[in-house]
Amino acid sequence: MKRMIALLLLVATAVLAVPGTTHARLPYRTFYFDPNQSMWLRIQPIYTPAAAYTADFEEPVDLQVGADDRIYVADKGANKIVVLDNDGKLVRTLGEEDGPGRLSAPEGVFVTPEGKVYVADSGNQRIAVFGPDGAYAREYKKPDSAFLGSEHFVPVKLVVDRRGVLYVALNSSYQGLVRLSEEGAFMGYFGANKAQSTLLNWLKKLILNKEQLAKETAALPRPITNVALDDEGFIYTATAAGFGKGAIRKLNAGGVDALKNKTLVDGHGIVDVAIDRDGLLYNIDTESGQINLYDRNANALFAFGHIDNGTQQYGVLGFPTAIGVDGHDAIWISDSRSKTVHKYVRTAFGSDVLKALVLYADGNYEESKPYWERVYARNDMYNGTFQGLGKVYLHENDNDQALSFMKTAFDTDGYSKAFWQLRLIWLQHHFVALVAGLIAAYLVWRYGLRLIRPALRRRPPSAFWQRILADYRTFGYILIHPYNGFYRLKEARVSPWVTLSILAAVILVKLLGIYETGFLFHPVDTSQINVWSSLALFAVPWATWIIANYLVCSIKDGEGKFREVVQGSTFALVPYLAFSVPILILSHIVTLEERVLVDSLSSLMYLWLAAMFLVMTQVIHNFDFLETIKNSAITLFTIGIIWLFGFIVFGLSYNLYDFFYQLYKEVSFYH
Amino acid sequence: MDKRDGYRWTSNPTEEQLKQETVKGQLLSNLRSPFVLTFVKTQGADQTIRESLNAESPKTKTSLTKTETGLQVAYDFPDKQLGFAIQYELTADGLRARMPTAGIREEGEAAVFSLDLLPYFGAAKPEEDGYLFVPDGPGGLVNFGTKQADLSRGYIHQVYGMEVTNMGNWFRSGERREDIAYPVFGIKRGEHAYLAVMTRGADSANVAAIPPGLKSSYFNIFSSQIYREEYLYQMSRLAAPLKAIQKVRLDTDREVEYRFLRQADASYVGMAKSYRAYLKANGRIGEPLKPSDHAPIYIKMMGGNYRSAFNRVEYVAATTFAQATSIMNDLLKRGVAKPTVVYYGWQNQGDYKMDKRFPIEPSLGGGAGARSFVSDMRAKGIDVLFEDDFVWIDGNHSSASGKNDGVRGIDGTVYVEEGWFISKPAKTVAMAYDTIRKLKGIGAAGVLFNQIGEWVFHDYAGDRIATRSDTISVYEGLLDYAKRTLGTASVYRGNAYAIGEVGYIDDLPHESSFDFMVDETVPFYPIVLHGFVPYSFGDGNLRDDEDTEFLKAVEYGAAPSFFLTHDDSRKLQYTASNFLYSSQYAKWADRIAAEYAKFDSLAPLYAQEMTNHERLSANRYATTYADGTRVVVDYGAKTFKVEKGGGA
Repeated sequence: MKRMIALLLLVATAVLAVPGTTHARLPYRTFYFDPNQSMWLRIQPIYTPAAAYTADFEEPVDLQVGADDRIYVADKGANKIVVLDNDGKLVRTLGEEDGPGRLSAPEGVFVTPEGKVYVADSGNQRIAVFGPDGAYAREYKKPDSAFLGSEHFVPVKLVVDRRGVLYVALNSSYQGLVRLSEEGAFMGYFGANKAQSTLLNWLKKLILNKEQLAKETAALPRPITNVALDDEGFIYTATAAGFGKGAIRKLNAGGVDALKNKTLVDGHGIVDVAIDRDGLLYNIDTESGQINLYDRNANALFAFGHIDNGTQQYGVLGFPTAIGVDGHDAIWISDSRSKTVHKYVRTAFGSDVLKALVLYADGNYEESKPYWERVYARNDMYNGTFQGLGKVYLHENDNDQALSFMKTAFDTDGYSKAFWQLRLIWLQHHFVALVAGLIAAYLVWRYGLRLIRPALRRRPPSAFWQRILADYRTFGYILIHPYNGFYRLKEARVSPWVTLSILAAVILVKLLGIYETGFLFHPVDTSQINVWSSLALFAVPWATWIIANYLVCSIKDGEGKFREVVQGSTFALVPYLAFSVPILILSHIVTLEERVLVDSLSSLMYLWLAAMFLVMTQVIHNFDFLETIKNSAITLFTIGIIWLFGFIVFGLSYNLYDFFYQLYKEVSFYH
Repeated sequence: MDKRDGYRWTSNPTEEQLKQETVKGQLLSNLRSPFVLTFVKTQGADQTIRESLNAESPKTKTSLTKTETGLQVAYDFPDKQLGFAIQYELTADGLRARMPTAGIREEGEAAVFSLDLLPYFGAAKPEEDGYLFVPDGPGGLVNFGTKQADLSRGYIHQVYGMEVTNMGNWFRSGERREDIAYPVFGIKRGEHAYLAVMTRGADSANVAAIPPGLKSSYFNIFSSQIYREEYLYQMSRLAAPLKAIQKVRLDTDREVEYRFLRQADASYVGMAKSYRAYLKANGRIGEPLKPSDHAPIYIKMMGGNYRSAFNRVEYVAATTFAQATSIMNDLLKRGVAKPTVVYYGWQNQGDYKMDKRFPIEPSLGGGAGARSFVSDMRAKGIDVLFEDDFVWIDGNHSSASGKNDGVRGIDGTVYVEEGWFISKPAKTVAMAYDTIRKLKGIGAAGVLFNQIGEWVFHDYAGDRIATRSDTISVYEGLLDYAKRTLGTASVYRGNAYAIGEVGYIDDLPHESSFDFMVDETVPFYPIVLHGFVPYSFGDGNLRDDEDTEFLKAVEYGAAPSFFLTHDDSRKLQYTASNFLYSSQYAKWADRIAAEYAKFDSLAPLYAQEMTNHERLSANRYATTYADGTRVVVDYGAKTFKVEKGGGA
C-alpha cells in the first residue's frame, strides 16, 4: 500500500519518491543489481552515513585516502590541501604559506604510500610535491617536449606509481594521461580513450570529400575525468558520457585495459573511481545520482545514496567531486556543493555480504560459508546468496541443496554442475534397473506390436478409419520420404480432421516446450510467460507462409490449390513433432556440457523443416528445383512485406486508439 | 514580557544588540518586527514574486486594542491594501498569540503568502549556552555551540509533512526525511526555555529554525504560517510545468502558545513534560495505561500479497490463519507472554482490488479461518488487529473512480500517481466503516490504519478547500468509531492529532532526518507518550543495525515488534511486500524469545511516565521513570541495565 507506492516509484524512477508517504530511515535507498534481469532491486543498507565534515572548505574538488587512513582534500576555492584524520579532525593544511609551496586553485591530490603528497596545482600550471612532514619539496613544470607543443599544462588529476612515474590528467585533454618520469621528463601519453566511431561518422567518411571532412568536428576521444591507482599498480581511469562505455578502465603498465572497454552499469555520469583492498570498485555517478559498488570485473553489485543539489542531510550529496575508500572500508566523498566531506561506513550486513562476495570471487567457498549464512539469515531475497550458498553446497557435495539454490538464483552453470553430480549418483544406483528398463521397453516395442497386430487384423477398422489411418501414415512417411510423401498427399484429399489434429498436436508440443523444457535450457519463471505471444510468434509465420506461398505460386504458374498448400504446410511440420519430444526429454537429462546434443538436434530439426517446406513447394506446385528456390525466396520476401504492412496498419490504428483513449481519460478522469 | 523570576523574554533583540548586527535593510528591520509578512501579487506579469513587509515597513499603521483577555495589535498596509491582526494573551504558563483568519484583509492586488509569527522571539547568539528544539523525528536539538556543515536553508518544514498533491514540493528531488509528527518547537537559553505549541492551524504551518549567518547573527525559531502555496501545474503533457500561486487563501485560524520553563525544566525533558501537561489539560491524550505484569510485544503476520502473472493475478500466501495459530502457540510456549497480533494482507487478493476486501482471501483460510483464528487467540487472551489502508487507492484495478473519490491538487485536477490516487476522507470513512463492521463479525480486536496517523492533505475541490484540519477531524471521527466498535484503533507514526484515540502506535518516529543542522536526537515524543500509548519502532527482524536499534527501543521505552511469515519470505519477492527481507518465523523464533525476555525485564515501567532522560557519556544514556527506576543503555558495550528506583 504505502510500500506499494514506494515499489511502483522504484521501478519508474528512484528519485521521484512521494514525500510524506515515505518514512525515512536513511535519507536514501539501497539497491542490488540482479544480472539475470538487469534490474536494480531493493535491499537493506550496505552503507550508512556516518558524518559530514566541514573543515571550512570552500570548494573541495578532489580527495585521496592515504595509506595512514588520513584524508587529503584538495580545496580549490581555498587554495590549499586539507589533511583530516580518520575521524574528520583537521591535522594540517598544505600550500597556504607564502613561498614556492603556495598553491593556486589545486584540483587534484595524490598521496604515495610513503606519505609524499603530489598536488595538481592547476592555477600555477605545475605539480607541487610536499614531503611526508608537510614541507614543500619540489615542483614539476611543463616538460620540455615537442609532443606537448602549445598545449597548456593545466594538471587536474594525477597518480604516481611505485617507481615515481607521474600520470597526469590535463584539463580536458583527449590525448590521455601525460606520463612524466621522476625527473620530470615527458614519457609520452598514456591510456587515451578510443575515439567514438559512430555509424554517422563512417557514413560521412564514405561520402564527404577531404575539405568537407576537415570542416566537420572531429570525433575526438572523450577526456579522462579522473584517475586512481590500486595496490597492484593498475591505473584506473574514469570517463564520463558514452553511456558507460569504458567508464572505468583498468590499465596495466602497457596501457592495456583489463576490463576491455566494458560498458559500466550506471557509468554515464561517472565522477571518480576508487578501489578498496579487496579490489572492489566504487563509483559516484551523477546520472543515476548514486554511489555504485562493482566487483573486480566491474559488474554492478550495489547502489545507494542520493544526489540533491540543495542537500542539507548527511549522506545526501550536492555536487560530488571525488570518492575514496579507507582501510576500514569507509567511503569518503568530497562535495563541493555542501562544502563538506561525507563519510559512509559499512553496516554489519554490508560487511558480511561484501566479504562473502570477495571470498566467492576468490574461490574460497568454504570460507565464505559463514558470511553467506549470516547474509541469508537477514535476507531471503538477494539472489547472490543463493548463488554463493549454492556454490558452497556444491563444494560440500550437498548436491540437492546446491541444485535448489542454483535454481532459485537462475544460475544455470552451477545448476548444471550439481545436476551432473546428482545424475552420476543416480546412475550409479540405478544403472542395472535403467538398462533392464530400456531392454524391456525395446522388447515391448518389438514384440508387443506383433502381439497386437493379429488382433487388429481380426477386426479391421471401418473404411472411414482406414482412410484416416492412411493419412496419418502418410504424415509419418513424409518425414523420411518427402518427395513420395508429398506426391501421395497431392493426390489424396486429406480429411480436415486429420489436418486439425496434426495442428493441435503441434500446438500441444509447443506448449510442452514452453512449460516443460528442462531448467537448463529454459531458465525462466514460467508463470510470467506470455503464452499468447509465444504461440503467435510460432503460428503467425506459419500462417503468413501459407498465404504468401499460395499468392506467389499462383502468379508464378504453380499448380497448387489453396487447400493443398494448407495441407502440405501442415504435413511439412512433421519434423517438429518428431524432434521436439526427444529434445524435450533430453533437456531434462543432459547438462550444459552436453548441450551440444540438444543444440544439434534443434538445428537439425530446423534444417529439416526448411527442407520440408521447400520440397512441399516443389511438389505441390510442380516446380523444378530452381523455380522452387526462386519462388520460396519470393515467398519469404512477400512475408516480409505482409508483416511490414501489418505493423504499419497496427501502429497507426494503435496511435489513433491511444489518442482517443488518452483524451477520454483526461476528460473523464482528471477534470 | 516579564516572567515570575524577572527574566525577560523579548520578541526581538534590543537596539543595543542590533548595533553589532551586520545585516542591513529589510533583514535588519525584520529583526525589529514581531512578524514578517510575505505577499504576492494577484495581478500583473509575474505573480510568483514574493515580497515581504514587517512592522517597520513605511506607511504601516499599527493600532492597539485592549480586549478582555489581552491585547490586539492590528497592522495595516494601506498602499498594499493588506492588513491583519495578532491577539496576544498572557496565560498561566506564558503567552498565547493568535492570528484569526477573520482579521486578514486582502482588498487589493496583494495576497498574503505566509506570515512568520514572532520570528525573533527569544533569538539567541551563538555564544550563549543552549539549543533550539526542533520536532525532527523523536526530537532534535540544534546546539548553539557546535559548528555545522554548510547550511544554506535552515530547518524549515511543514507540520505533518508537505502537500503531497503539489508536485512543486517534491519535483526538485526525492528528499527522504522524517515528517514532523507533533506541532511544537522550543528554545533553551541557559536557565530558561520556552516550548511553543501550535494549538490551532498547526497543520498549515512550517516550523522554521534558522542558524546564524543566513538572515542574521542569531539562532531563531518560529512558526511560519502558510496561507498560500506555490505549485507547479502542467498545461500539457509535453510542456514543462509552470509555477503558480494558489488563488484561494487557507481560511483557518492560527494560534501558538508559548510555555515558559525555568531551571530544571529548562530542557527538552521539561519541554516534553510541558507538552504532555498541555495535552492532558486539553484532553488530547488518552487515559494512563494500566500496569501490566508482562511487556507487550507486537507480532505482525504477513498473510501474503498478489503478484501479476501472465493473464491473471496470483495471490501468494505466506502465512495462512492455521499457520498463524501455530506460530502464536509456539511463541506462547517460548514464554512470550503478552503478544498482540497484527494481520496483514488478509484482503481478497491482497492489495489488488482495494475496494473489494471481502471475502477474506480464501487461500489463507477465508472468513471461517479468520474467525477460528481470532477466537482461538481470544481464548488465550491475545488481541488480533487487522491492518488496512483506506487512503491510497490503486485506480488501475479498482472500481473506485478518481474523479469522484480522489483528492484534488491546487490546480483542481485529481492527483494521480502511477494510477494511484488519494481517497477523499469521506470515501476513506465509507470504506473503513464497512470494513470495521465486517471485521467485527469476525471478532477482530481492532484495526491498524495505514496512512491515517502519518500524513494529511488539503483537498482543493472547487472553490472551497477542504483543509488539512477538516481531514484531521474526519480521521479523528474514524479512529473514534473504530475504537468504540472494535475496542482499539491503531496507527503508524502517531501524528499528534491521533494520539488521543489510538491504542497502539507502530513505527513511532525514532530516527533523525540526518540533517546537518540537528546535532542531537532526543526522545521528546517518547517522553510525552510513554505510559499513555504503547508504541514500537522498526520491526526486530528488519533492522538495519540490530544492536543499536534494539538498544534505542530500550532507551526510548518502545515495545518490540516483529514482522513474520510462516513461509520463506522469498515467495513475496515479486509482490509489493518485498520489503520483508527476512521474515520466516523458523529463522527468528529464538531471537524473538530472547529479545522478549530482555524487554520483559522492563515490564514494570510499562504504565509509567518518563521523568528524565540524560546523556551520561558519549555512548551511555539514562532514562528515568516515575518510580525512580533508571534504565541505563550503553551503546558501546551493547548492553542495558535496569536500576530499581525507590518507589518500586
